Amino acid sequence: MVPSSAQKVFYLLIYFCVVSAEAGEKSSEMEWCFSQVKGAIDDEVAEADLISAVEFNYTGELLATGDKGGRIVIFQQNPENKSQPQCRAEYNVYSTFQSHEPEFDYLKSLEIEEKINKIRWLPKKNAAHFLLSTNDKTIKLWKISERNKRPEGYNLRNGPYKDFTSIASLQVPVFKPMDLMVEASPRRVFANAHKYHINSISVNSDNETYLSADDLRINLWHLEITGQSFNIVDIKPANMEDLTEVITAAEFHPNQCHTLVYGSSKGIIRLCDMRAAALCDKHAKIFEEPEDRNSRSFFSEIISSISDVKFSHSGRYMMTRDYLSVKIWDINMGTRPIETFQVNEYLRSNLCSLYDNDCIFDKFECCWSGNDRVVMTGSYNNFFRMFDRGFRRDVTLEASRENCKPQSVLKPCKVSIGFEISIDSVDCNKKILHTAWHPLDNIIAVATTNNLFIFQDKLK
Amino acid sequence: MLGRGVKRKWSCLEEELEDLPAAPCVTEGKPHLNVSDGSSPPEGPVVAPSKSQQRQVVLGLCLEKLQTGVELSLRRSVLLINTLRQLQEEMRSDGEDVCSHRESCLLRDSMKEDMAVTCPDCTEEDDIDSLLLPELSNQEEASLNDPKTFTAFSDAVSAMGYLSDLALDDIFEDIDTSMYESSDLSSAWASGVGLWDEDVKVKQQGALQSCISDLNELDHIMEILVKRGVQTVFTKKWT
Repeated sequence: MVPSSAQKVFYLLIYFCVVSAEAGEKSSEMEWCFSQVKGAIDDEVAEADLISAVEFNYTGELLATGDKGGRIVIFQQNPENKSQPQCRAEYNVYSTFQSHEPEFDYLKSLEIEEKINKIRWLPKKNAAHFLLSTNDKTIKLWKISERNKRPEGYNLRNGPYKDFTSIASLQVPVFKPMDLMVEASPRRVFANAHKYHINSISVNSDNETYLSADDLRINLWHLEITGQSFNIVDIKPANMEDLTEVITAAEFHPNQCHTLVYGSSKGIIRLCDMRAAALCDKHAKIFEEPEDRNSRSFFSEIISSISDVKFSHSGRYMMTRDYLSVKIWDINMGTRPIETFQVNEYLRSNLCSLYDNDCIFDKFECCWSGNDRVVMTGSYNNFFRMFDRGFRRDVTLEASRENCKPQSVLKPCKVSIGFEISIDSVDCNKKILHTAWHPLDNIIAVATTNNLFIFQDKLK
Repeated sequence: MLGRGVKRKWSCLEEELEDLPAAPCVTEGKPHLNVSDGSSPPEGPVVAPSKSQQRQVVLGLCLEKLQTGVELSLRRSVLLINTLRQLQEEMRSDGEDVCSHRESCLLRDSMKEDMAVTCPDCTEEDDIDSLLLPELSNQEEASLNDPKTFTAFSDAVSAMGYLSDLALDDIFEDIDTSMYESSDLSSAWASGVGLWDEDVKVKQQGALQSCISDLNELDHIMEILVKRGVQTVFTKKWT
């Protein structure tokens, strides 16, 4: 496809800036190296292969991805290479299973998509791994366990039953090693609790409960009990005509088991304390930045809609993502964020076109680094951005198959805006909605449409 | 005017925007950030179109989206409707004549339809007053100054199969609304699909014929009203 002149100019601009960036000082403390890319190479993307969820487990040893076809693929860090700094970010397929199937609600004549909306790991309690996965309506608890031994030497059986008259002596069956087999089995199915589409799940720090949030309600579940859940937040108005705000994301505090936050389509985040009341409709704290009257437009509300909310690992801070920016909040102060990072301000002049092609409704996620110093989020053109809070630096990187040489260092892209960037140069089909950061190391997983890129930082 | 149901491509939108004095998406004037490579800002001053024209474009987009993608997600629908409300407010406060009544109808109807799509159980709680446009003969419509918006409106009207002059309240009174499927509404109305109770179906099919002729009348009347520029008056109170 021949690029338009605007596109040519855009890419030329990036090229020159990359060259100058190399010559000049490093724009970020960390340098990122390509490690692996997972997924099909060809350009023909099957809809079912679109990655819709990415999540590291608590140790970072396992990386789970969910796709639009309802499948979950779990990658495991190669144990042999874990200690080798250069290739510690080598992940191989550990298990693949179909988590959710498409359903049809006959009563309402609606199809329920099997797309995995969220995956959340449970902290490890025994040899098996547990994760929660959800589509629009149903949450499932999956147990992923290894089997590498098998009992052999039964008396009556050796495959088919033996003729017992032929048995002369008895033997005790013993476990013999076998090829590693990873099994995924659904242990719990939490269904029929949500009338609207589930957008978030979050495991509580008490390791017994978790929340699930849809557009209008948040429910609290016990991991052992599938037959009932408690409704803790309900923002459905008595008259649906009065509905002006929906819940877009929710999360439990990492340390305080009674605290949760939820973000809304109006750009407001509410913190609730479950000790205050059984129904937390009344928030304990509200986080809302006063609107900037100068930049108000028809799309102000749409772009202020919170697409993701994440607590820092420490629990002291909270990060929110709206369409154009990432904001860091101190949970003790609700009047304004303590830091705001512009992700793609150049889109502001193209909001009308993005509204027309529906991209303005895209929900980008964000994530913290293990030490809470850096935050990361995705954008269009397969760019993803990292903001270093300590050094007040930011970097734009691209996840593309062109930079796929092993150990090749990613060159930062500089998206300079000297004049208007036309919508032609923004490739809305190449969007990075889901990213994840290893909790204990600088290894990141970045999902483009149907590929998963794994990068590690270059240790010096 | 585009054919019904044809989604306008972005390039069409761009052409439309070019018809206006300037694309509404361009910011008011200055390029902002210095660039080391020394690129220069575009030639000539950037002329911002009038707010009213921008509004009309966004309004048209809004309605189109509400028509086509109601079942996509509740969040999207709510955001679209809020944008529409905001546009209405601005138009009203600027003293612009607006077909606010029709918009409100579309607004409420889309809202109800959205609610029904995602939560049909809600419809049990709310009365379905949907698809109600009060008798045209009784109401005075406001003007739509921009013919493009008018087109979008009439498209919206016909695409959703709105019916005027009907006391649809009566028809819906004893319907089991949990069976109500709004995303198929227009096709259901067109084809008389049996989602409805038997007694309703009979009434409905008869009503359908008169509705179709009413629609043609509707277009004609709308044209007249646009020329006259009459102020909207609410004649029917939503219960």
